[in-house]
Amino acid sequence: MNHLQQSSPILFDALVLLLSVSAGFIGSLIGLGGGALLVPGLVLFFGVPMKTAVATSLLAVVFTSSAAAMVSGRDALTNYRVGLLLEIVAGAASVVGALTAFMVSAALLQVIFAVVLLATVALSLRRMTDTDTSQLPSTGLAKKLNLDCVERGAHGLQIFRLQNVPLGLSIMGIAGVIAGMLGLGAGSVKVLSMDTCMKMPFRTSTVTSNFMIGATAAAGSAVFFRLGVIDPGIAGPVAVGIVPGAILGSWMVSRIKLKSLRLVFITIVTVMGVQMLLKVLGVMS
Amino acid sequence: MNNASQQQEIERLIKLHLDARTGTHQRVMIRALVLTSVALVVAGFVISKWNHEIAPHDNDLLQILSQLPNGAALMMLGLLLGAITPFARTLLLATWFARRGERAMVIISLLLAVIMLSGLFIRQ
Repeated sequence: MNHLQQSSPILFDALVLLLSVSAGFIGSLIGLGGGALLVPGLVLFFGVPMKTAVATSLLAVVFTSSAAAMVSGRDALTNYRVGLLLEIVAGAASVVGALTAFMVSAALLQVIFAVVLLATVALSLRRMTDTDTSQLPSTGLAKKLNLDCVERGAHGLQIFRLQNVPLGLSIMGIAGVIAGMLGLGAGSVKVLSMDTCMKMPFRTSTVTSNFMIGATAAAGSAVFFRLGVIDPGIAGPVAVGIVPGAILGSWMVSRIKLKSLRLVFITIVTVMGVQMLLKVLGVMS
Repeated sequence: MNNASQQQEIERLIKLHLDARTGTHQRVMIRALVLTSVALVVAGFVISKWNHEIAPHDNDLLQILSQLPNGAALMMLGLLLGAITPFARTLLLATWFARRGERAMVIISLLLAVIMLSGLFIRQ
């Protein structure tokens, strides 16, 4: 228990609630996931131990994913077949990641977190363009499990034949370990796997990824529940705050100009990542 | 692929989407689970403050839940309920695939459901 939590528990809870609302709002608005703000926020500003922060954040990712699914109009775009298939690997990897987080030192976890956070920010800045695969044949797992999809493009409805499914599955392994070990949604890695490797359209990849981050986080959270890392005194206010924040963010995403806002928030996340790295390396107190 | 067969293929792929009825069921289920979960956490929080409960030293899941209706136990129950939402969602999808006779997708969904719960059975 840290100093603020001991001296003024109500203020501590209120501030954690505020951080969670902001994390849920910003996370769903810029598509980085609440964990990118929650973990550094809890560790740097509230002195929460790294492992507790990771476990809390992973649980918050489940709530963020569910809150976004409460907003209607996403089912038509979500490719549940692809999501479920890829989740087999991502879910299992998340369990491995959570166990790893429990075993490695907090300082090492902090360094890995900062590096991965900065890489995730870089990934989210890339340009998205859909590849036309409509003339390619349906093959392998994509054919067997009916994974191909349809999305409205510039010339009406367009067929997208999914490619490189085994490669997509392998990248999901990395996304799952990142999620379970660091308490992040790893949505940008999942989108990378689906749109760049498997050639699924970007919009479908993003919505499908939202379904998937919840399942991956749930698998990792089960480990943290079992190992007693989830502290209800911290995870409680976080869960209560993240839901309205994420719903508001999902609602606002199509209503405001995101470009400059996105840049501001990405800068904040980058600064927090660097700050975390400097702190653990002893450069900053 | 000519225009007619492409149109046919588009229609076939659209039919593979989750139908509106199952989509609504899913949304209602998620809303119910998340709102109940948040309500339990808030109730637990209020009870723990009202009774000036001392925060548990050990956050062992079974130990905390055995102390129901303590504030911390209610909060933990709420968090657990929120955490199983993707599990419930996966089971709902499994029943949808079962209704469509897609055996491979049913197996994949059930396997994922097992993976999601597997963490709860890890030995400490």
